Amino acid sequence: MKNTFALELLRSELSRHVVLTDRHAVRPFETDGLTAYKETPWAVVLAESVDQVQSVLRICNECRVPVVTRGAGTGLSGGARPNAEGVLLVLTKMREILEVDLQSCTATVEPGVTNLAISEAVQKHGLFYAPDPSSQIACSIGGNVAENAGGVHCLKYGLTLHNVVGLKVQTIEGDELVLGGKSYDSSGYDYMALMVGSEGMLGVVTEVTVKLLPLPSHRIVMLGAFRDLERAGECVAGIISTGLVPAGLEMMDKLAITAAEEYAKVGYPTEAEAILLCEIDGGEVEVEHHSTEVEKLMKSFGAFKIDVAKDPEECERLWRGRKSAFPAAGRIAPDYYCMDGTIPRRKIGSVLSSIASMSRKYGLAVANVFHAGDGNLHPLILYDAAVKDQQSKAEEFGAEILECCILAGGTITGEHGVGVEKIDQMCAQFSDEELEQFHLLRKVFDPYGLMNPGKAIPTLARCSEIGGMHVHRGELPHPELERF
Amino acid sequence: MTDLDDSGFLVGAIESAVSNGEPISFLGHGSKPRLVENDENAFLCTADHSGITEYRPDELVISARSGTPLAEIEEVVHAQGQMLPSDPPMFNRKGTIGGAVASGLSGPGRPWYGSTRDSLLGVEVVNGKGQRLNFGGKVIKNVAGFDITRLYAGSKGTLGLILSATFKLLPLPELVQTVELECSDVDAHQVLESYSRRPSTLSGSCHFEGTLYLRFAGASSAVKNDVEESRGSIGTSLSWTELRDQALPFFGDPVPIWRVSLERGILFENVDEFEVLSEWNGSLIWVKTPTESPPPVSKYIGRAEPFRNLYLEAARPAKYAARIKQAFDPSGIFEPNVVA
Ligand SMILES: Cc1cc2nc3c(=O)[nH]c(=O)nc-3n(C[C@H](O)[C@H](O)[C@H](O)COP(=O)(O)OP(=O)(O)OC[C@H]3O[C@@H](n4cnc5c(N)ncnc54)[C@H](O)[C@@H]3O)c2cc1C
Repeated sequence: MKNTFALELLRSELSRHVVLTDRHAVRPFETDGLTAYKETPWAVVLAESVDQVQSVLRICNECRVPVVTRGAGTGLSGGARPNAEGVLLVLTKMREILEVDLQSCTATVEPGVTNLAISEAVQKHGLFYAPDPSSQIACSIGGNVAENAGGVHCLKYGLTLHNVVGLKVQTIEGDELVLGGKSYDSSGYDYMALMVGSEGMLGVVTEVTVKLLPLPSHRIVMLGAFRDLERAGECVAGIISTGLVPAGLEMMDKLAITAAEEYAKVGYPTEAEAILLCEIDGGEVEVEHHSTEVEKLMKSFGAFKIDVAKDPEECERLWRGRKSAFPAAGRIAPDYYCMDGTIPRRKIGSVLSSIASMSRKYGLAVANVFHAGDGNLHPLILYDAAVKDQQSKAEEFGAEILECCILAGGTITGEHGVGVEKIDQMCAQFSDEELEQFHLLRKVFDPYGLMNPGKAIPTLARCSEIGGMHVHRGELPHPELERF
Repeated sequence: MTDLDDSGFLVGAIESAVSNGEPISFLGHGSKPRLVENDENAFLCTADHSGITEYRPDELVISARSGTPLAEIEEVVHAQGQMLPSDPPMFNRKGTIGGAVASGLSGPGRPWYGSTRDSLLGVEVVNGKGQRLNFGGKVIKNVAGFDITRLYAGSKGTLGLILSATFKLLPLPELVQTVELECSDVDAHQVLESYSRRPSTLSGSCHFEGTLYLRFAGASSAVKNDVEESRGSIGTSLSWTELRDQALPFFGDPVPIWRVSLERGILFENVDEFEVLSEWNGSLIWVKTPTESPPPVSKYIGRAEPFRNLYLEAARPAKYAARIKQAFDPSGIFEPNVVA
């Protein structure tokens, strides 16, 4: 039921131009980066200040109206999908860098600041903000916090959770939580850990203080080309187990290589079945030394060609293909569906070949381009929504990949979040008691369940309805039955 | 090295405490100083629930039962050229992995290698309904569900018993060297500040009694380079392990010692000329005061807590803390004397 009283309150308390309800005006907000899921929001508020955020939350709480927070809308799990009877609270107008503090090496920013804008703003001081999702030119730091975003450099520098030191969060009950800060310790429960990755369900992040790191003085990017996908996967585990910590270690399969090469023309070897991109950074001697080691390892795992980039432009060229892989996939198929499971690194090779056989079974092509060093897969299932059944086939295919990841001892999402997309697989990953604990925790911050309802944590009723089975620590009932 | 799954007993003990409404406290090996000795509480000891349950050096991930001594884990992972990134204090070498998670303490490398919470990947816990729950997992990246795993880090037993924990590991550095520089606290502050804005292998700092100790760790070429540039002399007089375990003579003094967490990059102006030891790039200082009153730190927006009663914090629970407690421990039986 649409609550017109709430709308009147919003209009009277906020300046009129920030509240949108016109059908055309709200259309751009129908979907996030997961475009297959659309919903027209009932009202959109383009918040310009913390005061406005607080008003929206208070009104929604009083009137029991759902509220969905949205950053840049680049999320890939439908986390920012609007609610047809709720308010969509958009934070992209709050995009000021409030402080760059060189003494503590931190930056404090508003939630709508883009990820890349932070690194750009501090580059002149020889510093950078490490987590770099491929969407970094567009995605907001608030969205990064809500999803615990990762990127190609997280292997060495950690995820959002390791690089955010302080937050201000507005709760739906009207409290401002000031969490963490510039000191290393803070007292009491670790609310920061709860807020990072909470997918807009526990509070609205209105200020973020991030850690800034000194830019490495030297770096080398290497591209190793392999004739065998599984061997490339084994090489990843091989590199990590020698004790090297590359700044980034990414893998692409043939379809992804070809698509990226057609799109970005960066000189990728299209004859390869797989490539590994490995970045080493640090002091000059160290970088030289470690890259020679990686080169040797790549050869020993059967790399038939190795490109070594040393100057910044060459490095950038090698990364450009990887970073444009998503739009490139968008050019070879009308639609793609990006999965995000994480598995132990040693299983990369075998899980990739399972995915290849699923691809044959469903008759849908799949391109793999992913954070191999972290074991974080991103199979892109290519399909055409205009062709009957392809959408549902793609979803079934995706669900099977995720179950395969759980069975391999991994998880259904490494960095994109559960959102609406993977909510059913949560039933497979967690027991009823564990899900119940999530619900109880949610109620701590949102007693009426108004923040981003229907996302991330499935109800127990939903789990029993879909009849999915819970995989306990990689042990499925009846392991003797073949599933993929 | 023991390898014993005592979880049946532990869960049973919690179940009966829940049904009888008896308060219960947890104890690993009793390595951490504790002021509140309350005889009315039952102490549930995890020491027998011990052993590494999974260690895959090629994945740099280790899982162990909560009663496993940190010293045992250290030995096993060192043998494979690996380490626990946060290097949690072991105190008398009896500290357990469960205790490290519950107390959330980290060693001298914390600013560079992250905190114990940062490298924690998963936990199995028993909540206040006696339910065994698994959160997180054994992979590096995992955003399925709220991060309850890390909520347990530093929860001091108030949310339930940690049965086992999984940690991410790091390769041991090729070379570790300590450099000593004679300098005042003001000069030390400047030296440390200069390191925060350029890449280096610095991985530990400690200043006391007029000497700044800098630990460099990493690829040997890089470490040698940094040592040379530091213009200090290589020294061996400071044991980072003793610093970590608060076993330096500094900590043995019977006077009150305060653990003060300062904002990064801030210098503590020691106008009262207290005896001070600083680590963590100068952001964690230990201050000895002649009386029971805490050192004046409020203007630094830091926090001071008395060191000897690490477990006692006087702050009243905020609304949300009380609700979190309620969500995990509805009948309020866990660690009733601790306010998290
Ligand atoms: C081409 C492409 C490449 C990508 N590559 C990566 C990658 O490499 N790594 C990676 O991790 N992700 C990647 N993503 C996914 C996405 O960019 C990230 O999840 C990003 O963090 C989302 O930020 P956003 O501002 O767009 O958030 P939105 O999509 O607007 O929202 C995402 C979620 O966060 C919540 N939210 C947003 N802002 C706030 C706030 N201020 N307070 C509370 N909750 C909030 C929303 O409610 C929603 O649940 C990619 C996406 C695309 C389209």
